Amino acid sequence: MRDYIFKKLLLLIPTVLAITLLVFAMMRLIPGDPIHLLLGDMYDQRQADELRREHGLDRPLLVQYVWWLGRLLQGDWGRSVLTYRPVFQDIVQRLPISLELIVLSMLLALLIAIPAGVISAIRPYTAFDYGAMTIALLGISMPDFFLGILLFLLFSLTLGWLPVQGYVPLTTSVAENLSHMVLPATALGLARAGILTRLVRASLLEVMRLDYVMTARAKGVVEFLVINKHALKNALIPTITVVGLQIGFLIGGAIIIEAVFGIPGLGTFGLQGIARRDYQQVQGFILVIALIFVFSNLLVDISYAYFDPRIRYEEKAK
Amino acid sequence: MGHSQGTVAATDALGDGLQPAISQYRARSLLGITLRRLARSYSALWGLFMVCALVGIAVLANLIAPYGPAEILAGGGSLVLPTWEHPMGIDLLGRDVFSRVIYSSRIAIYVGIVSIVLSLLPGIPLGLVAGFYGGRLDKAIMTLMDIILAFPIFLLAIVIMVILEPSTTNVVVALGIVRIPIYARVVRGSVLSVKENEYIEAVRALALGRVRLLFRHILPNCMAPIIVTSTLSVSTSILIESSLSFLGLGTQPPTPSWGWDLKANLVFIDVNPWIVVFPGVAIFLTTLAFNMLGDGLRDALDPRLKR
Repeated sequence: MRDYIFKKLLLLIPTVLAITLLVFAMMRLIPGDPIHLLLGDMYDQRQADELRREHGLDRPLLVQYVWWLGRLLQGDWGRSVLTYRPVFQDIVQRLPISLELIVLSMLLALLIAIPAGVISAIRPYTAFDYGAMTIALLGISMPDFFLGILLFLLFSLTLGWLPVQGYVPLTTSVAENLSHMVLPATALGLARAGILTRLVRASLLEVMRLDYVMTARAKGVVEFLVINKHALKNALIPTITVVGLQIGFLIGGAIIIEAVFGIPGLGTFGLQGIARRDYQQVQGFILVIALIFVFSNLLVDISYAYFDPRIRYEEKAK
Repeated sequence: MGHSQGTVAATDALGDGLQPAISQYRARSLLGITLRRLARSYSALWGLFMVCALVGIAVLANLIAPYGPAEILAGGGSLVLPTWEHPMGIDLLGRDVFSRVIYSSRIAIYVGIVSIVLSLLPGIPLGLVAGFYGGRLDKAIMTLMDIILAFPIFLLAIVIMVILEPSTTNVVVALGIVRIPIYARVVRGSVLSVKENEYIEAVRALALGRVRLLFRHILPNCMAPIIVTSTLSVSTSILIESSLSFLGLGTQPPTPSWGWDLKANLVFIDVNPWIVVFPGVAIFLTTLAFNMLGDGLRDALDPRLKR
């Protein structure tokens, strides 16, 4: 297991390098000159050249990349061209907010999907099953930002149970923080719950037909344990794959949901950067999102090894 | 293991007693089988009906909508609540929301279908070649595909939109590029099992050209997963387009789109929630329709669920 994790960590290095290269290349392809935008009507060649030098925009691309990479590693992610605030500092401030949103919604999705999927699978073609599958289908088809708006309309505007907008840091007040986060997390989590419920049901149904489950039953293992200890662990392997794939959608969804609820997370930060053509800010945003994605996939890979011992043994055999 | 056997069974079931050289006969029978099985599921039929209705609305938008999408009816700042005359209300700029929702279906259908075609055009040949020839070529193609797939679709779409400037056409291009790997994978997987069939050996014995072998004899037997994936992808495309438009990174005004209208009207949600709710409901019903049809097709075309 330790070798497996180590190997995965080692593989992370080229992936992360590739990401930085891609992000850098993509950002250079953006049309529009930030210096032009910054100076606006006051554009003056000399001043522009000076600013370009200051931001290193006059160097050859390769030099710019190596410099940039070196500075990245030192935690210097550049300064926003417009606000002149250090990008890294802004990201560090906003990262926990977005992570909280993503983790809460994933937890919610799993808390709904696993029990609902298991019950549907052990009682297939019953009223519960049909009900759960219908709700799951509706959840999959619902755009998360629209669900967020509907929840907001009901709970904040009409019933007035929850605050309308804004954000309170977790460190200030846990209760107030949660009261701001519950709607966004629910909106984001429910759509994922739909997909995962279907998947847990489908894979558990498949596993329950296998011989080893019959063996377990023949041994006289209690049905509860047959499902929880024998069948579910195998059924969860494809679920983990999809959880991994869903993380990408979850991050994308978080960007929109932050915009809907006015949460000052990474999404808001990135969209602001895009709207203002702030190279440094967009670069930092895309980079940190890609890193979150890569690291969460690493966690998914590690949990594979936990659920599927074959992976561990294969590594040893090599 | 079980999966690959399933696919082999699929091609057997679909190709039962059919001469591979007469592909027209085959195609009709695949359609026949599909429709007959689709008809057994209410939700699939509803999905088919809703998709047809939606395409009809999009095509006939100028006849159905009582007003033009940009026609200004009342004075500015009106925000009229729904009435019999304006069933979905009037937005801030004095435009009939119902008419705008109807016209926006054109963008949704256009994005949904064209983006799929754009990913199929390179995706199918790549998958066919990778699956059929195998070896290094396969490895090279699939590695490239995996690299694209390693980026979250939505983030990649945002990046492409940032580089290309937001517009409907660019959303379509972005969605098309981003999903090439999905089709390459699906096609490759099917080719791997289809090419082991005996009739492929027979075709080879006839010494037909490679291109003809790939496109006339192998590809038709890979159609089932392609059709299912495409149908389900239409709903994802529409969802992503409306998300991007909602963020201001997709379709730009004056072209009417559900995502943009949702965002533009959101500011007035406390005054007139209906002008926000209806465009959202339109997105929901559209994706629901394609998901129901896609699920139905998957069940209809999956031999393991043959009844």
